[in-house]
Amino acid sequence: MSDAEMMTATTQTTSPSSTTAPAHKGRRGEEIAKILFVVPAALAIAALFGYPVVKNLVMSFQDYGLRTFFTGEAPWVGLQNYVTVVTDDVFTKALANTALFTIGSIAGQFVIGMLLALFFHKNFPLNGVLRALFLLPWLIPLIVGSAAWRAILEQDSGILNVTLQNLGIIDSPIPWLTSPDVALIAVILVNIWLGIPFNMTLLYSGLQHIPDELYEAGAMDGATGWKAFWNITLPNMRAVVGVTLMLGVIYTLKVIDIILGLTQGGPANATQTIATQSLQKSFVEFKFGQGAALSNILILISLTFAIVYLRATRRQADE
Amino acid sequence: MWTNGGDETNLKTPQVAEALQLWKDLVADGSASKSVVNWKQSDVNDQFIAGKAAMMLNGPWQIPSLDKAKMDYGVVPFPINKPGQTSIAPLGGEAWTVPLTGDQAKMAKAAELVKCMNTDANQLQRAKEGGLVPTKTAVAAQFKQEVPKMTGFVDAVANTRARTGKLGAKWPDTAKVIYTGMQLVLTGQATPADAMAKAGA
Repeated sequence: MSDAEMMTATTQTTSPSSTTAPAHKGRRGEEIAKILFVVPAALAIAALFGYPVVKNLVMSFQDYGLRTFFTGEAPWVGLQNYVTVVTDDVFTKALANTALFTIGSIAGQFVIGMLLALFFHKNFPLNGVLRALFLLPWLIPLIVGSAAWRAILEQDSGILNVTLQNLGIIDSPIPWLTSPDVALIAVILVNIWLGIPFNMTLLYSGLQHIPDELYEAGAMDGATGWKAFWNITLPNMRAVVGVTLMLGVIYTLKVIDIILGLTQGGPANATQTIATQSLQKSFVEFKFGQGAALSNILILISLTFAIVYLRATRRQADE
Repeated sequence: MWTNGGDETNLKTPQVAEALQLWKDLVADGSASKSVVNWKQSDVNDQFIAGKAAMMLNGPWQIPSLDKAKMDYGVVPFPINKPGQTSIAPLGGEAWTVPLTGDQAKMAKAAELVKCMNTDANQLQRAKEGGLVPTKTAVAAQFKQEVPKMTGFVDAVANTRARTGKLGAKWPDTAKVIYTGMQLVLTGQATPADAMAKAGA
Protein backbone atom coordinates (compact mmCIF):
# COMPACT_ATOMS: atom_id res chain seq x y z
CA MET A 1 0.00 0.00 0.00
CA SER A 2 1.40 3.40 -0.91
CA ASP A 3 1.41 6.35 1.45
CA ALA A 4 -1.33 8.08 -0.50
CA GLU A 5 -3.65 5.08 -0.31
CA MET A 6 -2.99 4.71 3.39
CA MET A 7 -3.89 8.34 3.96
CA THR A 8 -7.16 8.00 2.05
CA ALA A 9 -8.00 4.93 4.02
CA THR A 10 -7.34 6.64 7.28
CA THR A 11 -9.38 9.66 6.32
CA GLN A 12 -12.25 7.44 5.34
CA THR A 13 -12.29 5.54 8.58
CA THR A 14 -12.05 8.62 10.77
CA SER A 15 -14.34 10.89 8.81
CA PRO A 16 -17.60 9.70 10.36
CA SER A 17 -16.48 10.44 13.89
CA SER A 18 -14.86 13.77 13.03
CA THR A 19 -18.19 15.16 11.82
CA THR A 20 -19.64 14.89 15.30
CA ALA A 21 -19.33 18.12 17.28
CA PRO A 22 -17.80 16.97 20.61
CA ALA A 23 -14.91 15.12 18.98
CA HIS A 24 -14.17 18.15 16.82
CA LYS A 25 -14.09 20.38 19.83
CA GLY A 26 -11.82 17.95 21.61
CA ARG A 27 -9.32 18.05 18.79
CA ARG A 28 -9.27 21.83 18.76
CA GLY A 29 -8.77 21.80 22.52
CA GLU A 30 -5.87 19.50 21.96
CA GLU A 31 -4.36 21.97 19.50
CA ILE A 32 -4.73 24.80 22.01
CA ALA A 33 -3.21 22.65 24.72
CA LYS A 34 -0.26 21.93 22.44
CA ILE A 35 0.29 25.63 21.91
CA LEU A 36 -0.07 26.34 25.61
CA PHE A 37 2.63 23.81 26.36
CA VAL A 38 5.00 25.55 23.99
CA VAL A 39 4.24 29.11 25.13
CA PRO A 40 6.22 29.13 28.43
CA ALA A 41 9.33 27.78 26.74
CA ALA A 42 8.95 30.21 23.85
CA LEU A 43 8.54 33.12 26.25
CA ALA A 44 11.57 32.07 28.25
CA ILE A 45 13.68 31.78 25.10
CA ALA A 46 12.45 35.11 23.80
CA ALA A 47 13.18 36.87 27.11
CA LEU A 48 16.45 35.20 28.03
CA PHE A 49 18.01 34.56 24.60
CA GLY A 50 16.10 36.56 22.03
CA TYR A 51 16.04 39.89 23.82
CA PRO A 52 19.75 40.05 24.75
CA VAL A 53 20.84 39.00 21.26
CA VAL A 54 18.57 41.49 19.51
CA LYS A 55 19.39 44.25 22.02
CA ASN A 56 23.10 43.58 21.57
CA LEU A 57 22.72 43.77 17.80
CA VAL A 58 20.79 47.04 18.02
CA MET A 59 23.27 48.53 20.51
CA SER A 60 26.17 47.78 18.20
CA PHE A 61 24.72 50.27 15.70
CA GLN A 62 24.19 52.98 18.34
CA ASP A 63 26.36 55.48 20.15
CA TYR A 64 25.49 53.88 23.48
CA GLY A 65 27.42 55.34 26.41
CA LEU A 66 27.07 56.24 30.08
CA ARG A 67 25.06 59.29 29.05
CA THR A 68 22.41 57.01 27.56
CA PHE A 69 21.43 55.84 31.03
CA PHE A 70 20.41 59.35 32.02
CA THR A 71 19.11 60.81 28.78
CA GLY A 72 17.83 57.65 27.15
CA GLU A 73 19.38 58.88 23.91
CA ALA A 74 21.46 56.51 21.81
CA PRO A 75 21.87 57.98 18.33
CA TRP A 76 22.24 55.66 15.36
CA VAL A 77 25.76 55.58 14.01
CA GLY A 78 25.46 52.84 11.41
CA LEU A 79 28.59 50.75 11.10
CA GLN A 80 30.77 53.29 12.93
CA ASN A 81 31.21 51.09 16.03
CA TYR A 82 32.38 48.17 13.90
CA VAL A 83 34.80 50.38 11.98
CA THR A 84 36.17 51.82 15.25
CA VAL A 85 36.78 48.47 16.95
CA VAL A 86 38.19 46.76 13.87
CA THR A 87 40.62 49.59 13.12
CA ASP A 88 41.66 49.78 16.79
CA ASP A 89 45.38 49.07 17.25
CA VAL A 90 44.65 46.24 19.64
CA PHE A 91 42.08 44.45 17.44
CA THR A 92 44.51 42.51 15.23
CA LYS A 93 46.47 41.46 18.28
CA ALA A 94 43.30 40.48 20.14
CA LEU A 95 42.10 38.46 17.16
CA ALA A 96 45.44 36.65 16.84
CA ASN A 97 45.49 36.06 20.61
CA THR A 98 41.95 34.68 20.50
CA ALA A 99 43.01 32.23 17.78
CA LEU A 100 46.23 31.21 19.57
CA PHE A 101 44.45 30.94 22.91
CA THR A 102 41.68 28.78 21.47
CA ILE A 103 43.88 26.51 19.34
CA GLY A 104 46.52 26.13 22.06
CA SER A 105 43.99 25.45 24.81
CA ILE A 106 41.92 22.98 22.80
CA ALA A 107 44.96 21.11 21.49
CA GLY A 108 46.42 20.74 24.99
CA GLN A 109 43.14 19.94 26.71
CA PHE A 110 42.14 17.40 24.08
CA VAL A 111 45.43 15.51 23.85
CA ILE A 112 45.95 15.33 27.62
CA GLY A 113 42.23 14.61 28.19
CA MET A 114 42.35 11.78 25.64
CA LEU A 115 45.50 10.27 27.17
CA LEU A 116 43.95 10.38 30.63
CA ALA A 117 40.68 8.91 29.33
CA LEU A 118 42.61 6.01 27.75
CA PHE A 119 44.57 5.60 30.98
CA PHE A 120 41.45 5.45 33.15
CA HIS A 121 39.75 3.11 30.68
CA LYS A 122 42.02 0.38 31.96
CA ASN A 123 41.01 -1.30 35.18
CA PHE A 124 43.26 -0.67 38.13
CA PRO A 125 42.86 -0.04 41.87
CA LEU A 126 41.78 3.48 42.93
CA ASN A 127 40.70 4.23 39.35
CA GLY A 128 37.47 5.87 40.50
CA VAL A 129 39.11 7.93 43.26
CA LEU A 130 41.81 9.26 40.96
CA ARG A 131 39.29 10.06 38.24
CA ALA A 132 37.21 12.01 40.75
CA LEU A 133 40.30 13.94 41.87
CA PHE A 134 41.00 14.93 38.28
CA LEU A 135 37.62 16.68 38.25
CA LEU A 136 38.74 19.16 40.91
CA PRO A 137 39.86 21.95 38.54
CA TRP A 138 36.39 21.88 37.04
CA LEU A 139 34.73 22.11 40.46
CA ILE A 140 36.42 25.17 41.94
CA PRO A 141 35.23 28.62 40.84
CA LEU A 142 37.28 30.03 37.96
CA ILE A 143 38.19 33.19 39.82
CA VAL A 144 39.48 31.17 42.76
CA GLY A 145 41.47 28.92 40.44
CA SER A 146 43.02 31.81 38.57
CA ALA A 147 43.87 33.65 41.81
CA ALA A 148 45.69 30.55 43.02
CA TRP A 149 47.55 30.27 39.72
CA ARG A 150 48.48 33.93 39.89
CA ALA A 151 50.17 33.26 43.21
CA ILE A 152 51.84 30.11 41.84
CA LEU A 153 53.15 31.93 38.76
CA GLU A 154 54.35 35.02 40.63
CA GLN A 155 57.77 35.87 39.28
CA ASP A 156 59.83 36.41 42.42
CA SER A 157 58.10 34.42 45.12
CA GLY A 158 55.71 32.12 43.23
CA ILE A 159 56.05 28.44 44.10
CA LEU A 160 56.62 27.36 40.49
CA ASN A 161 59.69 29.53 39.91
CA VAL A 162 61.05 28.78 43.38
CA THR A 163 60.68 25.04 42.78
CA LEU A 164 62.21 25.14 39.31
CA GLN A 165 65.12 27.18 40.62
CA ASN A 166 65.72 24.89 43.59
CA LEU A 167 65.71 21.89 41.29
CA GLY A 168 68.29 23.64 39.14
CA ILE A 169 66.10 23.51 36.03
CA ILE A 170 66.21 27.27 35.49
CA ASP A 171 68.81 29.84 36.53
CA SER A 172 66.66 32.95 36.71
CA PRO A 173 62.93 33.19 37.44
CA ILE A 174 60.63 32.93 34.41
CA PRO A 175 58.43 36.04 34.08
CA TRP A 176 55.28 33.93 33.59
CA LEU A 177 52.72 36.71 33.77
CA THR A 178 54.92 39.78 33.51
CA SER A 179 56.59 39.30 30.13
CA PRO A 180 54.57 39.93 26.97
CA ASP A 181 56.36 36.97 25.34
CA VAL A 182 55.43 34.45 28.02
CA ALA A 183 52.11 35.69 29.43
CA LEU A 184 49.90 34.22 26.69
CA ILE A 185 51.61 30.84 27.04
CA ALA A 186 51.08 30.94 30.82
CA VAL A 187 47.41 31.82 30.38
CA ILE A 188 46.98 28.98 27.87
CA LEU A 189 48.67 26.53 30.25
CA VAL A 190 46.28 27.46 33.06
CA ASN A 191 43.31 27.14 30.72
CA ILE A 192 44.52 23.70 29.64
CA TRP A 193 44.72 22.67 33.29
CA LEU A 194 41.17 23.87 33.69
CA GLY A 195 39.77 22.13 30.61
CA ILE A 196 41.35 18.71 31.08
CA PRO A 197 38.56 17.33 33.33
CA PHE A 198 35.87 18.35 30.83
CA ASN A 199 37.67 16.67 27.91
CA MET A 200 38.65 13.63 29.95
CA THR A 201 35.12 13.01 31.23
CA LEU A 202 33.44 13.29 27.84
CA LEU A 203 36.08 11.19 26.06
CA TYR A 204 36.04 8.60 28.85
CA SER A 205 32.29 8.16 28.47
CA GLY A 206 32.82 7.78 24.72
CA LEU A 207 35.42 5.08 25.27
CA GLN A 208 33.02 3.09 27.42
CA HIS A 209 30.56 2.80 24.56
CA ILE A 210 32.98 0.99 22.27
CA PRO A 211 32.19 -2.75 22.48
CA ASP A 212 35.09 -4.93 23.64
CA GLU A 213 34.37 -7.38 20.80
CA LEU A 214 35.76 -4.85 18.33
CA TYR A 215 39.11 -4.89 20.11
CA GLU A 216 39.05 -8.68 20.39
CA ALA A 217 38.36 -9.02 16.67
CA GLY A 218 40.97 -6.40 15.93
CA ALA A 219 43.56 -8.16 18.05
CA MET A 220 43.07 -11.33 16.01
CA ASP A 221 43.84 -9.37 12.87
CA GLY A 222 46.93 -7.92 14.51
CA ALA A 223 45.51 -4.50 15.43
CA THR A 224 46.84 -3.73 18.90
CA GLY A 225 48.22 -0.69 20.65
CA TRP A 226 48.53 2.35 18.38
CA LYS A 227 46.90 0.52 15.44
CA ALA A 228 43.88 -0.37 17.54
CA PHE A 229 43.58 3.24 18.70
CA TRP A 230 43.81 4.60 15.16
CA ASN A 231 41.53 2.05 13.48
CA ILE A 232 39.04 1.15 16.21
CA THR A 233 38.98 3.73 18.98
CA LEU A 234 39.07 6.96 16.98
CA PRO A 235 36.51 6.02 14.27
CA ASN A 236 34.08 4.87 16.96
CA MET A 237 34.57 8.06 18.95
CA ARG A 238 33.91 10.41 16.04
CA ALA A 239 30.67 11.80 17.48
CA VAL A 240 32.05 12.28 21.00
CA VAL A 241 35.25 13.86 19.69
CA GLY A 242 33.15 16.19 17.56
CA VAL A 243 31.01 17.31 20.48
CA THR A 244 34.02 17.71 22.78
CA LEU A 245 35.97 19.84 20.31
CA MET A 246 32.93 21.87 19.34
CA LEU A 247 31.89 22.71 22.91
CA GLY A 248 35.54 23.33 23.75
CA VAL A 249 36.03 25.81 20.92
CA ILE A 250 32.84 27.76 21.62
CA TYR A 251 33.58 27.82 25.34
CA THR A 252 37.22 28.83 24.90
CA LEU A 253 36.52 31.61 22.40
CA LYS A 254 34.59 33.51 25.02
CA VAL A 255 36.81 32.80 28.05
CA ILE A 256 37.24 35.93 30.08
CA ASP A 257 37.55 35.12 33.79
CA ILE A 258 40.87 33.28 33.61
CA ILE A 259 42.52 36.08 31.65
CA LEU A 260 41.07 38.73 33.96
CA GLY A 261 42.20 36.81 37.00
CA LEU A 262 45.71 36.22 35.73
CA THR A 263 46.78 39.24 33.68
CA GLN A 264 43.82 41.58 33.08
CA GLY A 265 44.71 41.36 29.39
CA GLY A 266 48.21 42.71 30.02
CA PRO A 267 51.09 43.20 30.19
CA ALA A 268 50.88 45.74 27.36
CA ASN A 269 47.86 43.94 25.80
CA ALA A 270 49.84 40.69 25.43
CA THR A 271 46.87 38.58 26.56
CA GLN A 272 44.06 40.73 25.21
CA THR A 273 41.41 38.70 23.35
CA ILE A 274 38.21 39.73 21.58
CA ALA A 275 36.29 38.74 24.72
CA THR A 276 38.43 40.79 27.11
CA GLN A 277 38.42 43.70 24.68
CA SER A 278 34.63 43.59 24.60
CA LEU A 279 34.51 43.73 28.39
CA GLN A 280 37.09 46.53 28.42
CA LYS A 281 35.10 48.62 25.95
CA SER A 282 31.76 48.08 27.69
CA PHE A 283 32.55 48.14 31.37
CA VAL A 284 35.85 50.01 31.72
CA GLU A 285 35.51 52.60 28.99
CA PHE A 286 31.68 52.55 29.04
CA LYS A 287 31.46 52.48 25.24
CA PHE A 288 28.65 49.95 25.20
CA GLY A 289 28.07 50.25 21.46
CA GLN A 290 31.65 49.29 20.68
CA GLY A 291 31.59 46.52 23.28
CA ALA A 292 28.43 45.15 21.66
CA ALA A 293 30.07 45.31 18.22
CA LEU A 294 33.01 43.26 19.49
CA SER A 295 30.79 40.67 21.12
CA ASN A 296 28.77 40.36 17.92
CA ILE A 297 31.99 39.67 16.03
CA LEU A 298 32.74 37.00 18.63
CA ILE A 299 29.25 35.51 18.28
CA LEU A 300 29.73 35.41 14.50
CA ILE A 301 32.99 33.47 14.90
CA SER A 302 31.35 31.00 17.32
CA LEU A 303 28.38 30.66 15.00
CA THR A 304 30.65 29.75 12.09
CA PHE A 305 32.10 26.89 14.10
CA ALA A 306 28.64 25.79 15.25
CA ILE A 307 27.35 25.70 11.67
CA VAL A 308 30.36 23.73 10.44
CA TYR A 309 29.80 21.29 13.28
CA LEU A 310 26.05 20.93 12.63
CA ARG A 311 26.70 20.33 8.93
CA ALA A 312 29.31 17.70 9.71
CA THR A 313 27.04 15.85 12.13
CA ARG A 314 24.12 16.00 9.70
CA ARG A 315 26.26 14.42 7.03
CA GLN A 316 27.23 11.72 9.51
CA ALA A 317 23.60 11.05 10.33
CA ASP A 318 22.75 10.86 6.62
CA GLU A 319 25.48 8.30 6.05
CA MET B 1 54.52 62.78 35.98
CA TRP B 2 52.67 65.73 37.51
CA THR B 3 55.39 66.48 40.04
CA ASN B 4 57.89 66.57 37.18
CA GLY B 5 55.77 69.07 35.22
CA GLY B 6 54.14 66.57 32.85
CA ASP B 7 50.52 66.94 31.85
CA GLU B 8 47.79 64.54 30.80
CA THR B 9 46.75 66.78 27.90
CA ASN B 10 50.10 66.18 26.18
CA LEU B 11 51.83 62.94 27.03
CA LYS B 12 54.59 63.23 24.44
CA THR B 13 56.83 65.49 26.51
CA PRO B 14 60.28 64.97 28.09
CA GLN B 15 58.72 65.46 31.53
CA VAL B 16 56.45 62.45 31.00
CA ALA B 17 59.32 60.43 29.51
CA GLU B 18 61.42 61.16 32.62
CA ALA B 19 58.61 59.87 34.82
CA LEU B 20 58.53 56.65 32.78
CA GLN B 21 62.32 56.41 33.04
CA LEU B 22 62.00 56.58 36.84
CA TRP B 23 59.72 53.54 36.84
CA LYS B 24 61.96 51.70 34.40
CA ASP B 25 64.96 52.33 36.67
CA LEU B 26 63.10 51.30 39.82
CA VAL B 27 62.19 47.95 38.26
CA ALA B 28 65.55 47.48 36.50
CA ASP B 29 67.64 47.87 39.66
CA GLY B 30 65.30 45.69 41.68
CA SER B 31 63.88 48.46 43.88
CA ALA B 32 60.45 47.47 42.59
CA SER B 33 59.40 43.92 41.71
CA LYS B 34 59.16 43.03 38.02
CA SER B 35 55.62 41.92 38.82
CA VAL B 36 54.44 45.49 39.38
CA VAL B 37 53.39 45.50 35.74
CA ASN B 38 50.42 43.31 36.70
CA TRP B 39 49.76 44.57 40.18
CA LYS B 40 46.64 46.30 41.34
CA GLN B 41 46.56 48.64 44.36
CA SER B 42 45.46 45.80 46.60
CA ASP B 43 48.31 43.59 45.34
CA VAL B 44 50.88 46.22 46.31
CA ASN B 45 49.22 46.46 49.70
CA ASP B 46 49.36 42.67 50.12
CA GLN B 47 53.08 42.63 49.26
CA PHE B 48 53.68 45.40 51.80
CA ILE B 49 51.76 43.58 54.53
CA ALA B 50 53.57 40.35 53.65
CA GLY B 51 56.86 42.15 54.29
CA LYS B 52 58.03 41.71 50.68
CA ALA B 53 57.95 45.39 49.82
CA ALA B 54 59.59 47.93 52.12
CA MET B 55 57.65 50.88 50.69
CA MET B 56 54.57 51.31 48.62
CA LEU B 57 52.87 54.06 46.70
CA ASN B 58 49.26 53.89 47.74
CA GLY B 59 46.24 55.72 49.04
CA PRO B 60 44.92 56.30 52.55
CA TRP B 61 42.02 53.92 51.91
CA GLN B 62 44.50 51.07 52.50
CA ILE B 63 45.11 52.23 56.06
CA PRO B 64 42.22 50.26 57.63
CA SER B 65 43.72 47.03 56.24
CA LEU B 66 47.22 47.99 57.42
CA ASP B 67 45.93 48.64 60.93
CA LYS B 68 44.02 45.39 60.89
CA ALA B 69 47.26 43.58 60.05
CA LYS B 70 48.92 45.45 62.97
CA MET B 71 51.57 46.95 60.69
CA ASP B 72 54.11 49.47 61.99
CA TYR B 73 54.39 52.09 59.27
CA GLY B 74 54.75 55.77 58.50
CA VAL B 75 53.46 58.01 55.70
CA VAL B 76 55.61 60.40 53.67
CA PRO B 77 54.72 62.59 50.68
CA PHE B 78 55.83 61.75 47.12
CA PRO B 79 59.49 62.67 46.61
CA ILE B 80 60.35 65.32 44.01
CA ASN B 81 62.72 65.02 41.03
CA LYS B 82 64.43 68.42 40.99
CA PRO B 83 64.74 71.11 43.68
CA GLY B 84 61.93 73.63 43.54
CA GLN B 85 59.29 71.16 42.35
CA THR B 86 56.10 70.59 44.32
CA SER B 87 55.02 67.06 45.10
CA ILE B 88 51.68 66.55 43.37
CA ALA B 89 49.53 63.53 44.14
CA PRO B 90 46.39 62.41 42.34
CA LEU B 91 43.16 63.16 44.16
CA GLY B 92 40.90 60.16 44.06
CA GLY B 93 37.92 58.91 45.96
CA GLU B 94 34.34 59.87 45.48
CA ALA B 95 33.03 62.65 43.29
CA TRP B 96 29.48 63.57 44.16
CA THR B 97 27.48 64.02 40.99
CA VAL B 98 23.93 65.05 40.28
CA PRO B 99 23.21 63.99 36.71
CA LEU B 100 21.31 66.41 34.51
CA THR B 101 18.21 64.34 33.92
CA GLY B 102 15.72 67.17 33.37
CA ASP B 103 13.61 66.06 36.33
CA GLN B 104 13.98 69.16 38.52
CA ALA B 105 12.29 67.71 41.61
CA LYS B 106 14.48 64.62 41.66
CA MET B 107 17.62 66.65 40.98
CA ALA B 108 16.79 68.93 43.91
CA LYS B 109 16.37 65.92 46.18
CA ALA B 110 19.69 64.48 44.97
CA ALA B 111 21.40 67.81 45.65
CA GLU B 112 19.99 67.74 49.17
CA LEU B 113 21.56 64.32 49.72
CA VAL B 114 24.92 65.51 48.41
CA LYS B 115 24.70 68.50 50.74
CA CYS B 116 23.90 66.27 53.70
CA MET B 117 26.77 63.89 52.98
CA ASN B 118 29.14 66.85 52.89
CA THR B 119 28.33 68.60 56.14
CA ASP B 120 31.38 69.06 58.34
CA ALA B 121 30.31 66.32 60.73
CA ASN B 122 29.59 63.81 57.99
CA GLN B 123 32.84 64.48 56.09
CA LEU B 124 34.78 63.98 59.30
CA GLN B 125 33.04 60.75 60.16
CA ARG B 126 33.36 59.28 56.68
CA ALA B 127 37.04 60.20 56.65
CA LYS B 128 37.68 58.39 59.92
CA GLU B 129 35.84 55.25 58.90
CA GLY B 130 37.01 54.96 55.32
CA GLY B 131 40.61 56.15 55.56
CA LEU B 132 39.78 59.24 53.50
CA VAL B 133 40.82 62.89 53.66
CA PRO B 134 38.08 65.54 54.05
CA THR B 135 38.10 68.00 51.17
CA LYS B 136 37.06 70.95 53.34
CA THR B 137 40.31 72.46 54.62
CA ALA B 138 38.92 73.38 58.04
CA VAL B 139 37.58 69.87 58.54
CA ALA B 140 40.88 68.44 57.25
CA ALA B 141 42.80 70.38 59.92
CA GLN B 142 40.56 69.01 62.64
CA PHE B 143 40.90 65.51 61.14
CA LYS B 144 44.71 65.82 61.23
CA GLN B 145 44.57 66.59 64.93
CA GLU B 146 42.28 63.70 65.68
CA VAL B 147 44.06 61.16 63.44
CA PRO B 148 47.75 62.18 63.42
CA LYS B 149 48.97 59.31 61.25
CA MET B 150 47.00 60.76 58.35
CA THR B 151 49.09 63.94 58.44
CA GLY B 152 51.14 62.96 55.37
CA PHE B 153 47.99 62.52 53.33
CA VAL B 154 46.19 65.59 54.65
CA ASP B 155 49.18 67.80 53.84
CA ALA B 156 49.44 66.33 50.36
CA VAL B 157 45.81 67.14 49.55
CA ALA B 158 46.61 70.86 49.34
CA ASN B 159 48.58 70.18 46.14
CA THR B 160 46.62 67.29 44.67
CA ARG B 161 45.06 67.22 41.25
CA ALA B 162 41.96 65.38 40.13
CA ARG B 163 42.58 63.10 37.15
CA THR B 164 39.33 64.24 35.58
CA GLY B 165 40.09 67.90 36.29
CA LYS B 166 41.19 68.72 32.75
CA LEU B 167 39.87 65.80 30.73
CA GLY B 168 36.53 65.11 32.39
CA ALA B 169 34.79 62.13 30.81
CA LYS B 170 37.76 61.63 28.46
CA TRP B 171 40.00 60.56 31.35
CA PRO B 172 39.49 56.79 30.86
CA ASP B 173 40.88 57.04 27.29
CA THR B 174 43.99 58.86 28.51
CA ALA B 175 44.33 56.54 31.50
CA LYS B 176 44.46 53.63 29.05
CA VAL B 177 47.24 55.32 27.09
CA ILE B 178 49.18 56.02 30.29
CA TYR B 179 49.00 52.49 31.72
CA THR B 180 49.66 50.91 28.34
CA GLY B 181 52.67 53.20 27.92
CA MET B 182 53.95 52.24 31.38
CA GLN B 183 53.52 48.55 30.61
CA LEU B 184 55.33 48.93 27.29
CA VAL B 185 58.27 50.54 29.10
CA LEU B 186 58.33 48.04 31.97
CA THR B 187 58.23 45.08 29.58
CA GLY B 188 60.95 46.56 27.39
CA GLN B 189 58.75 46.99 24.31
CA ALA B 190 59.26 50.73 24.09
CA THR B 191 61.69 53.34 25.34
CA PRO B 192 60.39 55.97 27.77
CA ALA B 193 60.65 58.52 24.96
CA ASP B 194 58.39 56.76 22.46
CA ALA B 195 56.16 54.72 24.80
CA MET B 196 53.25 57.14 24.97
CA ALA B 197 53.15 57.59 21.20
CA LYS B 198 53.24 53.82 20.79
CA ALA B 199 50.42 53.49 23.32
CA GLY B 200 48.25 55.79 21.22
CA ALA B 201 48.87 59.26 22.68
